[in-house]
Amino acid sequence: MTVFRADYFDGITAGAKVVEVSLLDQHLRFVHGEQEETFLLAALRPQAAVGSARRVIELPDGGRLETEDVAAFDRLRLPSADRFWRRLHMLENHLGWVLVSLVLAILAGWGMIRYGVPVLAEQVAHATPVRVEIKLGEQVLAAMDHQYGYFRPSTLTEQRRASIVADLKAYCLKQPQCPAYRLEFRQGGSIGANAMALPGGIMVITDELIALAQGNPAESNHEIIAVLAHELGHVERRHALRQTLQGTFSGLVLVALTGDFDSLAAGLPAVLMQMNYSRQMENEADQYALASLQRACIPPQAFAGILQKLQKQAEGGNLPEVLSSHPDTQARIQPFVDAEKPACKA
Amino acid sequence: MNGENQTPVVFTGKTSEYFGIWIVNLLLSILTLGIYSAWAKVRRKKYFYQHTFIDGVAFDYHASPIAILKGRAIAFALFVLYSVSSNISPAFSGILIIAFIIFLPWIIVRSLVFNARNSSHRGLRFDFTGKAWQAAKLYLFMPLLIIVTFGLIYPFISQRRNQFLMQGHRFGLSQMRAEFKVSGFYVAYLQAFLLSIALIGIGGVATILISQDGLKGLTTNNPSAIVPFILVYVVMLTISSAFLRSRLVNMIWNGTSIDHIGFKSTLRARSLVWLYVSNLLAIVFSLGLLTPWAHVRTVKYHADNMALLGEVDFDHFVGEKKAEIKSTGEEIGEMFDVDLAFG
Repeated sequence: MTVFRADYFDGITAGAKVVEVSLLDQHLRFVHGEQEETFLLAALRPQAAVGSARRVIELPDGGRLETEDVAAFDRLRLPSADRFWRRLHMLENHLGWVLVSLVLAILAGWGMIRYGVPVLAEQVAHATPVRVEIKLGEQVLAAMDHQYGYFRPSTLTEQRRASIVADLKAYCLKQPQCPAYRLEFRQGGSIGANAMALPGGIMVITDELIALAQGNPAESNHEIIAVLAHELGHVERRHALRQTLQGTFSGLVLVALTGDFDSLAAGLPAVLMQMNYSRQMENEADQYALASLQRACIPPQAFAGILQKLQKQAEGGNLPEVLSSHPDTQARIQPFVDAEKPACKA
Repeated sequence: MNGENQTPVVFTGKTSEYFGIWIVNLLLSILTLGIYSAWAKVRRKKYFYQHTFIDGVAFDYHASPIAILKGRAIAFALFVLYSVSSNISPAFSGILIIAFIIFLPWIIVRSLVFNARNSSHRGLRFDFTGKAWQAAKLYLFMPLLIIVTFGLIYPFISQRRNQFLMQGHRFGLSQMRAEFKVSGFYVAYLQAFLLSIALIGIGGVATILISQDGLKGLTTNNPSAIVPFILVYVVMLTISSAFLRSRLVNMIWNGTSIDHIGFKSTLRARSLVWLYVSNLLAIVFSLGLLTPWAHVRTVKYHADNMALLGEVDFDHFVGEKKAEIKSTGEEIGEMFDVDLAFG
């Protein structure tokens, strides 16, 4: 009984021989020229179907049969045709399933970067030895000092530095537990009034920020301590390391996927989500600052004050607000403005 | 060349069909944290190969996903090692980079061998017979001369590299022959260079006009003011690279033959420009969903502009059975984006 017509290639020459393939008693049989070929069905390797392409059977001796008669081929239901590939082929060829796949693909990609990566980054951050993290922070600081040239040495007087260091220590002593930190003074240059927490508990504060905070001498250190309290919030939660890891992991996820993924389209949402994390981190650091300032008897309004000054300065300059990863200032300072002033005195 | 027997290359892939494969690949790659991407690659290549016909018979791709996965795992591990160490110990990552450069020629050749041996047509496998030392000469040592000669040697290197790529391939036991005139490469690069100069002139004027007219209301320190500059730059780059690509690809295929069969490639610069620009816009504005459409029409355009010259009696070609080859070279090459394209 003839089952289908196919092109036969013997694997030695490239010429196609048209053959009539028939099925008999668990054997596939066809004749080319004078020669008759018989193969046990179980020994055949039918290829998984791809789209509407010709169906291919690889023969155990290195030859192959190619047929356009897809229906007849599929009716054969050859025993070794892999179920996995058959399901896959069905999935690929049904619009409904394709649409479900599309929605699932978007959700899965989003979920992975939104939820998977932060959890992974947090786990890895906790597993990272403190010594390694400090080394990383030192590398970053050295790069900012020399390679990128953001910073120059601070011009603050020894006295001024000592007073800030002492006040920060006093603030820290009032906390149930204060994370290990190292305070670095720098001149901000192009990045201006700023403070940041690097991996390993390294906090940098710029001369410009300290100058900005100097208004009312009696309370001037309050504003500086308020900013540093916020940075200590980042240090305590190891935000800098987590942020670095998240960036790396998101990158790795994308690299792993680019086997069949257009990085142009995939990259943008990842960047936007990255900004979203940092907003969440800012909120956490703010909450930490609010609670710890109250414990240290420093009015939380100091934080609102310095943020407003920064905001006013930014409006004068030409730094677009969109580029900032900090949440909307007004919304941010409201809890600090509304907070009760501590009953104790610093 | 006219009047001779011409056999067209026919691509029958359809976007509607490939979309399903693409999206399922994407979904499973994400769900399996990238592990499926090895299977995805095989699916994708099989789709394009099995829908590309010469004289009624298509190509086939045979790579084992497991082999690709192993290669990817190694490349991935190296990449992680590199990105972690570049933050902690720059000296170590420097050593990694140097080791990578030393192994680069080997990686290039392995990746070509892997791809060729896993490609077949009419039951015969392709192969690549170029040697790593040749790749070292072309991809490591000759580039050093670029600086010394102020780039003037580049068309020569390009000619040698493409000859290496084409001559190294075999179909069955038949070796490809490739002879390209060095002068042809110099002319193409010179024309592309002059075209770029002219475009920079036109582009400069266009940018000024756009920024004065369309964006008059915006202040100069608004970041969006640079948008027209970027647009003009992208368009210019696309035009000159499409021009160069069409010239080189045509020259390369028209100078290549295998036994008694020659090739004829008829790419046109303006069609390529349109193809690239429209693909880019479609992908960006569809948030990537039109990627399969862009793939299919790009392959279709290239197939439509390719033909075989001469009598195609395939009985003439013979082959032998080849052992399968590990895929490490290819996947490391892919991961680190070694560009082996023409040009």
